[in-house]
Formats: sequence, C-alpha cells, structure tokens
Amino acid sequence: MSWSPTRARTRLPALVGLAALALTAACGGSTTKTSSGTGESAKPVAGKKGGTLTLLSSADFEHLDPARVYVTNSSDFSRLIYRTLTTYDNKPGLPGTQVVPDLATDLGTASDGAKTWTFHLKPGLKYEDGTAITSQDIKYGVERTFSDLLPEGAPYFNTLLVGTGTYKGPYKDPKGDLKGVETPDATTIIFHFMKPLADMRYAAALPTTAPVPKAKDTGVKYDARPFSSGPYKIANYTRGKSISLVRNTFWDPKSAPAIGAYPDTVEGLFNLDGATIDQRLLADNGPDQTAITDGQVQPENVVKVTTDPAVKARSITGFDNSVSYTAMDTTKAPFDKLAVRQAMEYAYPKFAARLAGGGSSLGDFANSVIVPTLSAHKDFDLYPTGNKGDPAKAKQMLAAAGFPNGVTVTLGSSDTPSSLKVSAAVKAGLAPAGFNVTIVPIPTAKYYDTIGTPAKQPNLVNYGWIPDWPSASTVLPPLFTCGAIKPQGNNNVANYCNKEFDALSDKALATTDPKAADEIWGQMDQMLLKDAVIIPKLYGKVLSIAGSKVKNTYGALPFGGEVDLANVSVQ
Amino acid sequence: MTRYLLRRITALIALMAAVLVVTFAIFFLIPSNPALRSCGRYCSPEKLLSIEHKLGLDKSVPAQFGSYVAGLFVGRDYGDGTQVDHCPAPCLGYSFKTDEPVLGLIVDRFPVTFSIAIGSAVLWVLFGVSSGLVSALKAGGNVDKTIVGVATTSLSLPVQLVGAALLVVFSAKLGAPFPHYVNFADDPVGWATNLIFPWVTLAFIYSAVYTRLTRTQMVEAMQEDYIRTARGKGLPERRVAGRHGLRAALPPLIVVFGLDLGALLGGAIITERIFGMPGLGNLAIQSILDLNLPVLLGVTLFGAFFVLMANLVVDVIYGLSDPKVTLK
Repeated sequence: MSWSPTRARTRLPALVGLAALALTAACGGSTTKTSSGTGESAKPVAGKKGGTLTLLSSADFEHLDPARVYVTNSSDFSRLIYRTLTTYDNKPGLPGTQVVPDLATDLGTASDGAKTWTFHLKPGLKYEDGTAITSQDIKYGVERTFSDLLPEGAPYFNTLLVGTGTYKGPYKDPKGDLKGVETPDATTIIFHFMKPLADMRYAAALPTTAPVPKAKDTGVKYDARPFSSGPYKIANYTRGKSISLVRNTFWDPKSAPAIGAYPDTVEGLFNLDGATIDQRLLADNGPDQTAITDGQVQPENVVKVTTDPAVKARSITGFDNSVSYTAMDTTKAPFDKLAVRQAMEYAYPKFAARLAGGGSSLGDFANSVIVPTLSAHKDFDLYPTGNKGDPAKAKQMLAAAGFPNGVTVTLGSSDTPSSLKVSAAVKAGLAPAGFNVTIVPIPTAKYYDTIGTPAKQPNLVNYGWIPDWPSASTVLPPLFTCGAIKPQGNNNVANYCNKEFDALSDKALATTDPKAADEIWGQMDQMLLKDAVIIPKLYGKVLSIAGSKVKNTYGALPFGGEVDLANVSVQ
Repeated sequence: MTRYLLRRITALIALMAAVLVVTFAIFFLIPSNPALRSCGRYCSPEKLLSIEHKLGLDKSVPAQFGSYVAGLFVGRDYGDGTQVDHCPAPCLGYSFKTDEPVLGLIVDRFPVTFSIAIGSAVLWVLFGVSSGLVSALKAGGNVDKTIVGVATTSLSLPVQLVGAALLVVFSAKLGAPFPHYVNFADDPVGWATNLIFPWVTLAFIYSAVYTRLTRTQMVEAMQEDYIRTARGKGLPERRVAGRHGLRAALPPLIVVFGLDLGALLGGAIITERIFGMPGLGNLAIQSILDLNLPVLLGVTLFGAFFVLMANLVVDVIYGLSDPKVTLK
C-alpha cells in the first residue's frame, strides 16, 4: 500500500504513518502560516475566469473512473469532470470540510433511523452531450462499484447498501437489480442501508454517486474517458503521458455554486521527475507560472521554500488531515497493562522523533487521534510533557507497575534509512525511562502486511490515517472498534477492544445531528488516550508550491491538503 | 551465411525465452502482492481473492507463465461477463493498471525512445569520432590532452547530473522552456528543439567512449606499414588518415555503436525521467512502482530483443566489413 512514500504521501487514502516518518525534510523548517489551518475565513473564494492551468505530476492518476477513484489527488481532480450528489464547499480551512448540495437539491433526508436516505436532483442537469442527468444514472454508477472488475473505489456503498453480498454488478449480472437503491422517477433516488449512515451527506460527496449513463459505460475502459457531467470534459487523455480538459458547455455554473472552474483549459503532464517539477515551479518561467503540482516539495528544497520570501509566498502549506501515531499492542505483554502503556505515553520522545524525521515541516505535535481539522476535535493533553517526554516520571510509573528494572519491547520500523533513523531516536529517548527497545526492521514492501497481522506484529508499530471524509466516523470505527480487528489486513493495530467504546461508536454512527455526533466522537477520542492505546505523534502537513500566476491555492482538507483544483484560478 | 543466420536467430529466440523466464521469476520473488494495490485499506480476504482472480494471480506461477506464453501465440481474453477484452496475438499481456494490451502501450511509447536514441546517436558519433580523429592525429600535443581530459571527465559524470545541470542552467536560469515530447509528425521543429537536452545529455556521456576508442584505433592504425607506404606514395595526409587509417579503425567502433544503440532503444530510463519524456524507460519505471508485471515483462522483452538484434546485426556487419572474418 505504499509507494514512493516521500512524494506520494497525501495520495494515500490511508496508512500515512510510515510515510510521515519516512519523510526526510530538512531540519528546523520554520512553522509557516497555515493556509488551511483551523477556523479561518469562511468566505467563499472567487477567481478570474480564463487561462490554462497546468498540473505537473510525477505519475498519472491511479484512476478517473468514478467507481475506482479513491486516493486524494484523483478525488480532487475528479470534481473537474463529474458531479456528485453533494460536494465540498469552496472555502479555505475548516469551513471547506462542509458539504453542500451539488446534483441534489439538499443534503438528503433521512428516515428509518438514518438507514434510508432520499435525494432529489436539481432540474435541468445535463451531460457533456446535452442529454439529461437522471437518478437512474446515479444508481447505475453505484451498481458499477459492485463489479469485481472495478474494485478500487471507497468501500461504503458496496458494503453497506441492502443487496451487498448477492448483487455482483451490472456486467456479471446484467439483468440483476441493486435492491438497495430505488429510483421512483428520473429526479429521485432513495438509498437503503443495512446500518445507519448518519454521515450520508459526506458519503454522497464520494465519486461513487457520480452519474454514469449506461449507454456510455465502457467497463474498465471508462477509466480513460469518463463521460462528463462536470465543468470540464476530457479533450485528450493518454494514460501515463498527459490529459487535457476543455469546458463542458452544458454544465451550468448557477447549479454548482461551490465549483468555480475558473481556467478555460486544464492540462496535466505525468511521469515527471519530482526534482524536475520542483525546478520548474521554483524557476517560475513562462507557462510554468500557471502551473501547480499534486506532489510535495522534495526534501532538498524544503529550506528554500520555507525561507526564501519570494518562493514562500507561492507555497501551499497546511494540515493534510492525517494523523500519525505509534500503537501499543494491548493484547500482549507488557502493554496489556494499562500502567505500562501510560508510562509509555509519558516516556515517548515526540520532539526527538520529529526532529530525526525531518523537523517541523512534517506536522504539528499531536495529542489526540481526531485531527484539529475535523469538527469533532477536542483540545486535550492527558500526558503533558511538552512533547519532550518525561523519562523520570515514566520510570517511576513502571516501577510502581512492578517493573523496577524496566521492560523490553519491540518496535516495528520500515527498513528505509529515514525510518530507521527515527526509530533509533525513539529507542534512545525511551531508554532512560526503562523501556529497552529492540528495533525490528521490516522491508517497506511488507510493512503493512506485517503490522496488519496481529500474530506477527511487534509490540509497538507506527501507523497513520487520513479520513475518507472529514468526519471522525471514518477514523475511530475503522481503527479502534472490536470488529476492526482482523487476522490479516488489520487496521486496529492496537488490537483494542472495548465494548463501551464500540457502543459509543454505534451511537455516533446513528446520530444525524453533526454536533451531537461530534460530542460523542470527542468523548471516544479521550477514552482512547485514557486507556493509553496509542501515542499520537503528528498532525501531518503538506508543503507544495504553485506558479506565481496561480491564485486561490488553498489546501483543501477533504483532499489531503492538496490545492482545491475546482476553485483554483490563473491570471 | 544462411546457416549462420538461422543458428543465430534460433539462439536469439532461446535467449528471449530465458529473459522471459528470469523476469517472471524475479517478479514473483518480490515480497509484495500487486493485488493489494487495488484492494484498498479495508481489504477483506474475499475482495483480495477476487482481485487476484481479475489479475490472473490466483493461479500457480507456472500456470500464469503458461497462459502468458500461450498468449504470445494465440492471444488472450481479459475481463468477464459482458466486459471481455481480447488481446490479440502476439499478446504481451494486459496492463494491471490501465486495462489495455501491453503491446499497444509499447507501440505508443517507442517513437519517443526511438527519437531520443537516434538523435543522440548521430551526435555522439559525430562528436566522438571527429574528436577522436583530431586527438589521434595530434597525439601527444595539447589538443590531444585536452580532448582526452574532457572525454575522461564526461565519461565519469552520471547522466542525472548532466541532465539536471542542463535544466538548471538553460531552463531555470536562462529561461529556455522545460522540454516536453512533441510528435515528429505534428511539429518537426518542436520535436527537435524539445529533444535537444536529452540528445546532448546522452551524446555528452556516450561520445567519450567513441573519442577514446577512435583515438586508440587510429593511433595504432597510423603506425601500420601500409600507412607508411601510403605516405611514401605521396598521398596527402587527409587522404591517408581518412581512407586508410579510419577504415581500419572502424570495425570495433561499429561493434560498440551497435550495442549502445540497441541498449538505448530499450529505453533511456534516467534521461527520459529527468526530461519528462514518455518513452519506454519512463514506462518501465512506472511499471516497477506499480508492480505492473505485464508491462514490466513487455518492456524488458522488447529491450532484450533490441540488444540481441543489435548483437546479431553487429556480428554480420563486422563479418562483411572485415575480410579476415568469415561467418559460418
């Protein structure tokens, strides 16, 4: 699940822990003002129409077929080509994590305890050929996600809708019908879920709800030419080489207030070397003045970008919505004892670990699992040590717990030099507290396989997460509930199972009032830290640069802090 | 001659088969499952199995190898239900990532690699051989020493350094556009101007070998008796060096040139990456990052084909150009 972690960090939908600590940025980069920080301006952005935006990328999109899009950069780009029932608002910072209606007239109406959701489509919506967008097309798009041939998308509709398990998608089962979705008329769509989905407004913003007209479906080939319902259509796309988008004249901007779609054309160039992309953006010559990248600044250029005022002014930095943490396996000695885990919370040298990994450009110190860029975040620090660790206190607690001579624990570490460097700093920092750490190097390609197998995992493992949508519902349940523990592909790497926690999780998932749900999630976050299940380390940050003529380059939190492509403009 | 060619072609096919087996084996020794790439973070065992089935990874390695080889001769079908895509023979496999036959990808990328290879080959032969000639004719002098010095330096510089330096100096500092590939048919001038950097980079590094080789061969040849005879007959020095000296120095140059060009036609990985040229080298890197075995296999086989063909062609030309060699 990891490739070129230094560059592709924010492209991952998940599992950022390894990558976050593998990042080797220069030490001591100053803390830049975050353009996508918490609670900033709630004013929608506005830009100038016209021009060509160029996207420089080290790789082609994983996928553009709405059934297969999952990672952040593809999701961000997909908003240029197709619309979904709801979509993210065009505001920097936390307000940008709120959804607004897009194809739908509202954020959906819940019934049956949030198990049933009804949406109505706006009138007069059209595809790139002028034909009408219907609710049946949205249903067909959802049906496609059930096909074995298109397995890559976000697994919500195809695991939660009624009909899951029996329906096999429109290719294997052309006469079949997905029972979980009803379309009583061309502008109404009703979803029936097996469990409450209070967060439907967010799920409806996933590419899964993009309409796909059956007549235009080309199966696996649809990836190369998704039919446009959005502001642009594909003029040319050669996989692995380039893409060019031109305006879809049938798209009505009045029906999509959150989508600016300012440039007249968008060009993408793929498979460029990361160092060359930096060179081009730093040089800022000619056409590159209207260019951006979906990658991050290379480690060797971090100092220049964060210190040269002219370049810094063009930099995009802010939270990427990720959290990285070290989990303690709560099922095995010595971390089966709460007191030992709490001692570890006090002992852990967060500051030294971040410094060894590259410094402050990696992110801000974390005290919770729910990041500050989610509305459920609560500010608390149950083990205050100023992030330096308090070995004396930890040693005392270990002794009180019956380990006066300390304990020996294993720490799983990816075998890249940068990860091993961080692990060595952690080992050195934990030693005075009485934690004798044995570093277990794991080949990078096998890292997630190994730590995702509870029988094989070391006592301490590094992990990370980006939510699928900006709500704690895609953070806490998949990471810490009893049901998330799997013999393989385990995401609950602390193997934490607490019935009380699970009950709260079920309650929050069924709570349709976002504020009330946030209250419960926040309570659960504190519960995790009281139980000392994990050591939160960093709220991750991105650092990227744009050409001098690109405006509205705020990082969009729903897309891992990458530039909101649907609202960027060029001069 | 016919028997010789037949024998060589048989050997070529056997070697290609060996390359195929080795590449296949190496891929399966990598401790990672390509199906996990598509399975996402909530990867259930059932979903993983279904993806492995889609990618054909659920069969044993020998069975997968068998299907691959069969596909080369009779083609293969991919997909299921109403979505079946036929990959016609010779089917080099089907890309895990972009769901298309590998051969099409290679055909699409080859013109880029070919353009880079041909242009840089012309440059390095021109520079390499001419500077080698000058150096040999002025052997021992300051010009010779300078040329040999430059050649040694350029030989020891890594491609990524030369490429990056060109970009920094000419594009970043002096404002020349960063190159991108333009089709020859669409815009021949744009094609050439965008390829100047890759051509110069490769020529700079490759020509050093030709300089040194030409120099050595020429210095040796110019001391032969027949050169003295030619001079004794009163031939002008230009004619002595050009007609008699250079001709004797040529065969080893042809051998090296053939092998270099053959290898380059398989893809100039680093050069293509630095300059963003979407050729076979770039395709190879991406297929490695994506664990995209069929593409990797296809590109490797294609590259191996050129190396082996170049060997064969070089041997034949060598035989024809040197009367002391007979091909049996």
